Amino acid sequence: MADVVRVSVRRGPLPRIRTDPAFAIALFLFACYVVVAVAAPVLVPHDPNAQQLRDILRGPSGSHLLGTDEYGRDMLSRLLLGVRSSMVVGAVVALISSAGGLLLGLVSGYMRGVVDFVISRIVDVGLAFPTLVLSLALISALGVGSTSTMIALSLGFIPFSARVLRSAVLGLRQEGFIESAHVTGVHPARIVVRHVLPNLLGTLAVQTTMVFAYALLGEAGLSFIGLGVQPPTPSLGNMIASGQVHALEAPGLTVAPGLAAAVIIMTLLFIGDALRDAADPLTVR
Amino acid sequence: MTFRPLVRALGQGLAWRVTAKGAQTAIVLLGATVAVFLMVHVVPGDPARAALGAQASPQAVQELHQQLGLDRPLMVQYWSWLVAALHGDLGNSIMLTDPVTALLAQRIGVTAEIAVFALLVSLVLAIPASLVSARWRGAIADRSARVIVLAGIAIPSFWLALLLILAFHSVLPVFGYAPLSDGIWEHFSHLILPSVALGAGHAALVFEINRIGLIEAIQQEYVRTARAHGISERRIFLRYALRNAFLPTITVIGVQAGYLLGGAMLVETVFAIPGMGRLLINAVTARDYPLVQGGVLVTVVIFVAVNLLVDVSYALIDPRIRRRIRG
Repeated sequence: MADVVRVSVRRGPLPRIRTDPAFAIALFLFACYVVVAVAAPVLVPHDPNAQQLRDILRGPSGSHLLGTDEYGRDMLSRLLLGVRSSMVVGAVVALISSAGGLLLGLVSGYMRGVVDFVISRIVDVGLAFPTLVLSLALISALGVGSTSTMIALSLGFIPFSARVLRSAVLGLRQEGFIESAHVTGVHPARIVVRHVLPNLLGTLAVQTTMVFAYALLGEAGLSFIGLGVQPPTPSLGNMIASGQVHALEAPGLTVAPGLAAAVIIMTLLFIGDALRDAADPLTVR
Repeated sequence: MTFRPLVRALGQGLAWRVTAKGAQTAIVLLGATVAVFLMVHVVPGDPARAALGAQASPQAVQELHQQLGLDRPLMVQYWSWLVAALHGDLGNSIMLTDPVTALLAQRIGVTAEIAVFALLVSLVLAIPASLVSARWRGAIADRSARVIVLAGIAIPSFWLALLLILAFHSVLPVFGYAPLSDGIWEHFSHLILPSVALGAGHAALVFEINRIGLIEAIQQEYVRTARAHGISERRIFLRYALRNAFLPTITVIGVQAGYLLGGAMLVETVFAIPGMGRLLINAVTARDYPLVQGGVLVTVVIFVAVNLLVDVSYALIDPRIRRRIRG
């Protein structure tokens, strides 16, 4: 096992992009967001829910670096915690939908036949639902909140990951080394674990990164319309929504969380693009 | 929805193609009705109780339970729901008591209009930009365009909508919707900012696909031949490459149609436009199942229909396929 992994890493995309400065910047930004997501409760300068009604809608100052919101709560603290809850939703959705997509893709692409036909039709049905619309339906059944949002978005993205990974598996099946493993009578489960899976890691990494980005967009959208993460817990989406009311007097309240969302989403899309380019240098860019 | 059956179908004539696509679409639609129906029913708890809230009396819950037909076997419920839906009856909204079909009919036009205008905005932005980018590939304009594309996808449309309001609130109307009867300018001026907010992100996707399509097209041999004949670059791009590049772009537009509709619902809420968005969001919060199911089903049907149309129109747009079908 260790051998296979090492070989695939040595031949894999990382050495080539490790030297790209733009990729380094993107990784650094991503790392910053991860640190904030993990350490936000320690990093916050103020209690994010403490209201100071005398100091509402203040601009940036020494004690409140990003000013205060309509309840006099410290914006910076809320922003850091907002990044945390959005990142948690994004990461959970990315992991669940990649795991689900991997399972479906492997079973579908490797077994083919009837199993593949049935799974592929179910995936077709899943793809017929725009993610946001599917989320509306699921949240109406599950109730609003961040758990429902994670479930809804995960189910929404699984068909995409399943489709991508299935075609990767189908491509791999035709490779000589898989066929020779077959011919020599290696057990299918062993072929999948030792030969197919390691070669899927690149595709899986790209797909997980992309879904992470789209899940952040999804969380922002759902929380913005009040169905996702519920106040007073801040998330980037519900902060944009609550800042909207005071957009003209205090534009920072909406601009800051939106910017924070846009930067991390863009970073993830960039990383995903770079990983894909490096894994498949022949594609036109 | 997939690409491969489509490509396989290209060689086999329009009739076969439409039949195959039609069958696939029918399976997807049937599956979608099952999914929409089950969403409400597989969740633990009584939908009637959820819709009425914890304070409702047992009698009221029982009444709604019966009114929604929840006491019948699941298969029977699904069948009668499906048959009614095929007749245009999606039940009555619990919170508004009106027929779901009527409620949706009032609002869907507004949402669709925003989605269509956003599509137009995205084409106007993306097609010329992709031509410039592909023509001078690797130049500064091309490289900065790729960064702008990532930003375009990454910026949430509803947030861009808020930024547009901040920037243009003194110049353009930023709230509400004016029907065409209020005058043409009134009508369109209310749609400018929503369409731009939604269309910008979509433009990024269209740009990306069309640019790659163009670059692949100009590497083909017929372009080399055309160049050898001394045909100008401008003509090669506009007359030959764009046409070929546009086919995958149209597919992407179809695939993205559902996202434009969903995005339109989000953007509507920012501009307080009375479309499907606010209606469905309220329905979700109120757990108004018939309304949610109806709205989701209608959106999915539109989405699937657009994709079927795109697939079939492929054959009509591409002269190579057109000729093969005629001859």
